[in-house]
Amino acid sequence: MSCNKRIKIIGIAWALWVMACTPAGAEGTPAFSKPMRMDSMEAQSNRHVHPFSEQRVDGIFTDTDGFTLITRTDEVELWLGEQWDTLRIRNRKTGYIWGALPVEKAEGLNRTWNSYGNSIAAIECFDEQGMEKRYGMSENAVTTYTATADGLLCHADFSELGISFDVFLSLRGNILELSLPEESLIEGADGKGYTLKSVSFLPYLGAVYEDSLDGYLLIPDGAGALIRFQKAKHYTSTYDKKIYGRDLGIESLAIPSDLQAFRPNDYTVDEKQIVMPVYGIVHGAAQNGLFMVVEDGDIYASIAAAPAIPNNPYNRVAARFDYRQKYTKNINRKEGAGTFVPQEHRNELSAKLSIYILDGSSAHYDGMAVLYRGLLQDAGILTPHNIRESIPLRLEILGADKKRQFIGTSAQVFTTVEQAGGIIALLADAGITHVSLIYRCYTINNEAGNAFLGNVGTQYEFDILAKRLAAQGGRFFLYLNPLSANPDQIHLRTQAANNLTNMTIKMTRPNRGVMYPDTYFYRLSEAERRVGKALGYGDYGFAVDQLSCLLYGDFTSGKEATRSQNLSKLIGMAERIAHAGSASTGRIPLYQPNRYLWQYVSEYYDAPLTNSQLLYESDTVPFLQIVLSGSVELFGTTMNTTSFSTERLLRHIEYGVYPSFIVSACDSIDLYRTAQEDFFSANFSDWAENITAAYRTIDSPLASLHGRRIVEHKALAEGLIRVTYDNGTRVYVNYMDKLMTDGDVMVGAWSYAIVE
Amino acid sequence: MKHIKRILSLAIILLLLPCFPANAIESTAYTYALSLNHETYIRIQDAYMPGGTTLSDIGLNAPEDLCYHDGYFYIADTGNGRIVRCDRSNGMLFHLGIGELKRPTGVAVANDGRVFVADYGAEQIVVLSPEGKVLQRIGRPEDLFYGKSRYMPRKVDVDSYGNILAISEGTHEGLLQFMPDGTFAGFFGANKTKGLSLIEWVQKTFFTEAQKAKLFFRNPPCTVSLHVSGNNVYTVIQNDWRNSLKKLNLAGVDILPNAGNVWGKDNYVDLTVAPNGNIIAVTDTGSIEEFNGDGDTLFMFGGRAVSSDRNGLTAVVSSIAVDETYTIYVLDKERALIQAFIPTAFASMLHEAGEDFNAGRYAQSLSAWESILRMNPMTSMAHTGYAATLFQLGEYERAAHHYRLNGQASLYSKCFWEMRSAWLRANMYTILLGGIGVFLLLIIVSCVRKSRDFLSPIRTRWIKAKQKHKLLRDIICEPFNMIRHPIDCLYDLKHKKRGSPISAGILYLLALAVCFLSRMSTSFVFGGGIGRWVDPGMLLITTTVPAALFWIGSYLVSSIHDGEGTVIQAFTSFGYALTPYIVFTPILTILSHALTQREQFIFQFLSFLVIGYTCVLVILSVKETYGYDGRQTVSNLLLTAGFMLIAALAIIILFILWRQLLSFISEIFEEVRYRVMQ
Repeated sequence: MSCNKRIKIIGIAWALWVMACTPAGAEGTPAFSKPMRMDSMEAQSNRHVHPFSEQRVDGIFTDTDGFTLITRTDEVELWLGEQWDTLRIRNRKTGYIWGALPVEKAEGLNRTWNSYGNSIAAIECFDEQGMEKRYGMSENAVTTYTATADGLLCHADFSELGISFDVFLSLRGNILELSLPEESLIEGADGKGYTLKSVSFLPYLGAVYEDSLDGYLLIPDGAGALIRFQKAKHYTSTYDKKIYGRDLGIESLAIPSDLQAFRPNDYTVDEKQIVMPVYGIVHGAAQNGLFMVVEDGDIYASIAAAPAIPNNPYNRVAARFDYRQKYTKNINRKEGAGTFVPQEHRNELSAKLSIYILDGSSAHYDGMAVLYRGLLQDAGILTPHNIRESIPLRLEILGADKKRQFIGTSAQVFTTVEQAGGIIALLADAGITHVSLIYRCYTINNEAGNAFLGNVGTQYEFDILAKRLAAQGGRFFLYLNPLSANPDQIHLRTQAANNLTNMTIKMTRPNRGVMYPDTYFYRLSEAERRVGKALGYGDYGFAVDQLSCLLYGDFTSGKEATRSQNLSKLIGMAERIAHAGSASTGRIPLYQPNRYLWQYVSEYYDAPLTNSQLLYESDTVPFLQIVLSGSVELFGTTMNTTSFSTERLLRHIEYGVYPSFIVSACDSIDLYRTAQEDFFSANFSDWAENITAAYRTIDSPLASLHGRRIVEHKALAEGLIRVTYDNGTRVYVNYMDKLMTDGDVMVGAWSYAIVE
Repeated sequence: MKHIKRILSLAIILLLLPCFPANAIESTAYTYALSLNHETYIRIQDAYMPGGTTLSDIGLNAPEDLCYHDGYFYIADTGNGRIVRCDRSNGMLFHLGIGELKRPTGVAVANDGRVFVADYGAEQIVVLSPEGKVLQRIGRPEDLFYGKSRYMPRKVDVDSYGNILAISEGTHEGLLQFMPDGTFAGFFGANKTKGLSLIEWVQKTFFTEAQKAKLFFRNPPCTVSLHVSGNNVYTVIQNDWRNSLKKLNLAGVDILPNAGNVWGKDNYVDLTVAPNGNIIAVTDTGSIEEFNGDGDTLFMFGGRAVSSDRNGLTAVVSSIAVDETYTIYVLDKERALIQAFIPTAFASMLHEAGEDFNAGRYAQSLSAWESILRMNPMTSMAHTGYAATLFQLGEYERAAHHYRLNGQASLYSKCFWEMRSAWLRANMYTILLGGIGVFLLLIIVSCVRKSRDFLSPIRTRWIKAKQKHKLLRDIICEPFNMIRHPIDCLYDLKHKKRGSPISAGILYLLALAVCFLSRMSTSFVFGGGIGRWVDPGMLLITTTVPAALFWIGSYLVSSIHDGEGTVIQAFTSFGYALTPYIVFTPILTILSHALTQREQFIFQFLSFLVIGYTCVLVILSVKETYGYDGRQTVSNLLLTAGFMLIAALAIIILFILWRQLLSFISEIFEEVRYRVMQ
């Protein structure tokens, strides 16, 4: 009897014994649910990536019967099912066939959904009453197909809706490109009152019924998130987020959260914003994959991903190009008194989506990241950065701000420039010279563009500090946020941006305890003025916040500018700042920058270390970090004001992210009753030891990998990760409380190892 | 093919990494704590991390209760009429009570493995064997003294002796206590009714007995959930946040040191007790709050998932449990799953500090509290914990500093008492010698003055100055005369022999200044101190407006009730009547710095004397100024009080109308601007 058979028999016997030992009288059949192992609860959470099955998956579609071959390249064949207005894509190398839904009957979906899900271009419309409805091509449109040199032109005429457009499909290599030119789009034909809400290309392409197939959806949520194919479950909502964040000029900014308790309602950590227009689908890890890049129309596109739910049991992801959305139109000037209506004017966009048909190692999240990095390098957006022998430390320093006093407010100085010099000297004594120092709160009233606050330091002192840092190999930046302001920093009538209903754009933090619950946003003309003033400070570099991640339309009467019109202004400002100063490299540090500013970023601040931790997200993966590795220095959020832990340090090592701290020379309690009180523990003396220890811990493995690119990221076992760099170095990280091994590599509990 | 492998730093890293605590990459909800002096809530280090969900796939239906016992979860699966037992380590499930239970809403497990179920639907408490066999059913008690109370068991727990405690919906008399054999033993730990509101007082005063019987307001609040731990029973109630948490001893007495003053919430649904005695309560909206064993708030986290499903946020919470590793499990009734929360190093440090403190290991505890304070210097709990440990170590001055920062007057007073005792012990001889020295000096001065009055020129100059400057006399001499001979002084004031509106005005300003300064300078032990937030504008309004109303009201009343005095005379005499307050309050303020709360009665008595004598002088002023007899004086005072009340109401109404008017004008302006701009 073979060993395997013996093991099987023992296993069956054990199971029978367990059943037999089930106490008499126990009612119902024992079943199993997901266990909660205490030794690996953290590693099991969706803040980590888990091992993948290597079992080969069979495709959902086995043939192309009923479809017509349109075109082929060396890698891919494109098939059209004219009857259903859908496509099949066959990978010639592997024979794997991609499609949307089964054309005859998709389980759990009705005909309307089937038509919508299979359509080459499915649409959503508003009727005359503003009600939203979905339409698929096969049920609602008359389509005509014309062959082109590398693909197909599809003309869709939704005659009942008065809407028609052209979709171009072109196949090059392993890339299928779908585009909808703006000029081909016609609305209101024959006096029909329907208006276009959105268009999605093949919204159910690669969709999988429940967990019938092993694989996942990849979404750019935070560092990167996977939604493994799963059985249908109830969820309150699915993932549906606008690329590059919300348009403050249109969307509702109210936070619907009420604990009905006395504690503040601003308790949730913000969900992560989408900073890059990509997503993917994998059928069988490292076997078959689709990687999608929204090439055009990205600023009006959303990524909609959904796990299987009872009334729509398909795991799916798609980009949706939003031509209109609903907003609250105020009926008078009172806040909250309004109706929810669709935008009158259509967003001007040309939708364009590229689908990369992948197989092998590139059909996995790390392979897709490497592919995307290559695309950005080819476009000249990412370039290799200088290699140093040590990692940088990001140190933010708080200068001064207003403090609530017994009567009124006073200026509270947290750190003078002289004291900042002392901090730098102490760090240098500890061997930390590669510092990126960002000085915050250094102007009068802490306003962007205002003159330096004398109590913090003079320009001469700032110059000395900057030179001192440069001499020891560090970098000095002034913090600049030219977009958002508290009520004391903005003149609402002349400087604040307004939304589509001509009310001042205001974001209110539901916490009456903070000094400034309300945040306002400058018009871009005002922001440009402030940037100009800031550039007049002297020969300084700037670390730019908000401008890097906010993109909003401003509808101030007579000065209307849409999101797309403001985009060029934002890029212009970033370019101006990046090229200012004698030591300009054309790149600057940016806080969580959106993709459209990546050509200007040298240091990426507040890089996410997890995803939004939505219940249906199964894994966090370092997609963003892999893309930017070797080109941009990534820094995490400040460690002393979130959580400081071994796992956080390990995550920095795993993701190749450098440490960040925010400090002041004053006692932390001096920040109380100021706008900076969220930085609840910032005293440098309190943290000096931890800063040094954290830096050394992360520097030790990452120093030799500075400027290197990640080429592979793999979960070897639950809690054990291996990261491979382009020079062949492998970093092992163990999140378990026990020794883990990979061949002859041993990694201690909550530790790491490097193999060169 | 063999690569050259260099396995670096394993040993070194193993040494480096463990110095950092574990378990915290990034949470989905902020952790809050009460800020210094409980002024507001402040964000702090993450205390717990969401650790994932379980049991979402077994079809739980509106589960109401969760109990963790010895590695197993017990869930009252209310909608399915069963108890689910789940082995946490391997996820193995057993279903108990199917067909026997109707609508179980509470579950508890005894040390011998018996499962106690509050079956709301069957109106019974059902005892099951570990195998699920029904051992006992406890129905409505037949005892006479159970009375007409309802019997709808919602929650149940059992103590180490096998006594059963249950909550019955609508039973206001307290928890139901049963002997191990199921015999009703009586009610336990009844809640008290809240104080009467104005409307309730009116209803109580004027309603007939029949009307009163229809009202529910006299019923004490019902307990919502309970947890038995050691010899204590912990309970939560709703809609009375100050009393929301209770820790009852065997006699049913709440033994929390801050009983009736807990910083709780109105919507707790359940609580549990951690291994170190910390209390963890949860609201239906998912706010999880941890208190130390004395009921002091440590931190709060979690919250409600409104528009998205995220780890660490919940929909509708029904129950909470904690295991031996301090991992918290929250039962989400709406989503029908259990959500785990793993303690971070920060929370673990807090727990260890508490354990060390409870065990008397103050030195270890101090070290942990130092770290906690360094990480969270704006929080009340860090200062309280640190100061309490310092106090135990005899470091009273440092402890007092932190209590003062945190606005904890009574604890500060204890430190001050120790510091004062130590100071007195250390300076006993100096004080005695100093006292004797002063005494001897006075005798010597007295003797010298008999032979040569060296103070005579100063006195002569003072007398001349008084004669020359009337205002000086009026504001320095006359007030003291008012204290000693009020009737004579008031007569002089009335007949313009002494005093003037200017001198009275100066006295009013002095009284205001004294009021401000006493608020700022009175010892922290007695509620003073500049560190405490006082709104100067509000203080100004609350002092000057009543004074002005009294002056005007009193005069107006006197003008229609045969009063003699003029409005100026009233102004002057009332100003002088404030003299005792102006003179003695500063002395009291200085004295407050030498007293502790143990001598509180001295301070309060002296304060009472000062205020009381000031009031007497004000009454005498009314009487003398308007030439009233006693009855007329009382009448004037009562009518003035009425006038003040009406005037205050009128001012408030006018203020509201004025704001409405401004708002209306502003809205019209904005509307016009908006339309024109469009």
